[in-house]
Amino acid sequence: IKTKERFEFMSAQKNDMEQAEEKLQKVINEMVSIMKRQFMEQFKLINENFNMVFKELFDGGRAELILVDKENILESGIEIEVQPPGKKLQNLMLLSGGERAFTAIALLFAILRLNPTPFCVLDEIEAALDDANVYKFAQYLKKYSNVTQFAVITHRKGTMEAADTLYGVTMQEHGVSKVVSLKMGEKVG
Amino acid sequence: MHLKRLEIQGFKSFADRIQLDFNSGITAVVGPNGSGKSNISDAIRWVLGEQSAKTLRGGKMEDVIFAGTEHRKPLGFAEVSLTFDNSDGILPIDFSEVTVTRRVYRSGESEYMINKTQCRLKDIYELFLDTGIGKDGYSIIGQGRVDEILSSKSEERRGIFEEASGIMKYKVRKQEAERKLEMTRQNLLRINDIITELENQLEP
Repeated sequence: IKTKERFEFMSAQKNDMEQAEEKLQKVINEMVSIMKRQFMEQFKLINENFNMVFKELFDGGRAELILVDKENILESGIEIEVQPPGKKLQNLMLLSGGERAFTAIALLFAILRLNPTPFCVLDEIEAALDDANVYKFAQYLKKYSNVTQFAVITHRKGTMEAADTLYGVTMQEHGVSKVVSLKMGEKVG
Repeated sequence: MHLKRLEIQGFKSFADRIQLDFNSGITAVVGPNGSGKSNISDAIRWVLGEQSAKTLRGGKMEDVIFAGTEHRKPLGFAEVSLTFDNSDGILPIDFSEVTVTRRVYRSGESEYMINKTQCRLKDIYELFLDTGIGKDGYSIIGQGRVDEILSSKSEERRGIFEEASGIMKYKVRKQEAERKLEMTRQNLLRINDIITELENQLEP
C-alpha cells in the first residue's frame, strides 16, 4: 500500500513538473518572438539613421547594414556595406583604416541619434581620421551639441576648435596629473 | 539634465583634488599622451558603477587608487563625484542638483553616495535607469567600442546592436527561463526513474 501511495504522489509530481515545463517553454518562445520583433524594428531604424549619418559625414555615398542570416536573426552576424562617394560598393573590411574608423563613428552617431543620451563622453574615437574628416566629425558634434552634451577627450586640433570649453591635462610632476582650464591659445589658470 | 561638474581625488593619476566644470555644448579635454586624459573617462565610468577593473584598465578595483610616485606616498582612498543639473526633473529624485559619489579604500571597501547620503550601488543604477546613462549605455564611448564595430567577425558585431535595440533585458529573462527549464527536465528524468521502479514493484 505504501508503494501505491508513493506511486500516486510521484505521478502527481510528474504532472506538476510537466506543466511547469510547458509554461517555461511558452515563456521562452514569447521572449524569442518579442526579441525578434523588437530587434527587427530597431535594426531597421538604425539602418536608416546609419545611411543618413554616413551621407552627412562622407558628403554622399551610402551605407547599409545587412543581416547575414535572415532566417535566424537572433544569432545572425551583421555585415556593414559601404559606398564612399565615387567608389564602388564594398565590404567594410576593404576600406582604408581611416575610412573604417569614420564609418564606425557614423554608426555610433546613428545609434546615438536613435537613442539620444543627455550627455556623451567620447574618448579619442576620432584618432585615426585625417584632418578633413576630423573637421566633419567636429561639425557633426557641434550640430548635435544642443541635443546631447559632449565631453570629448582628444588630441586633434579640429575637434579642439569646435569645443566651447577646453581643459588641459598635464603631468608636470611625474606620475601626477593636473588640470588647467584653457581658452584657445592662452593659459588661464 | 546635463553634466555640471566632475571632481576627482586620489583616482589613478589624480593625486590632488581636481574639478572640471562642464558647460553645455562641447567640452574638450586635451593633453599629451600618458598625461591622464583617459583617466577622466574612466573616472566617469567608475562613479556610475563600473564593476569590471579590466574595463578601467586595472587588475583589481584597488588599482584605481593613486599608487604613489618617487616623491609621493600612495593614498588610502579614491573618490569621484559627478554632479548633474536635474532642474528638468529627468532623474527621479526631488533635487535640482544631483551628485553621485563613489569612494573605494585600500581595504577594498566601497561607498556610494547620492547627494552625500550613503546608498547602495543598486540605488545608483536605478537612478539612471532608462536615461541611457550608465556603464553599458551609449553615454561613454571609448576606443574599444570602435574596435568592436570594426571586428572582422560579423558575429562579434552583434553585441552593440543588441544593446542599441534594447533586447538585452529579454535576453537575460530568456536565459533565466532556460535555466529553470533545464532543472525541471532533470527533475522529470529522476521522477520518471522512480515511477518506473515503483511500477515494477506494484505490478507483480
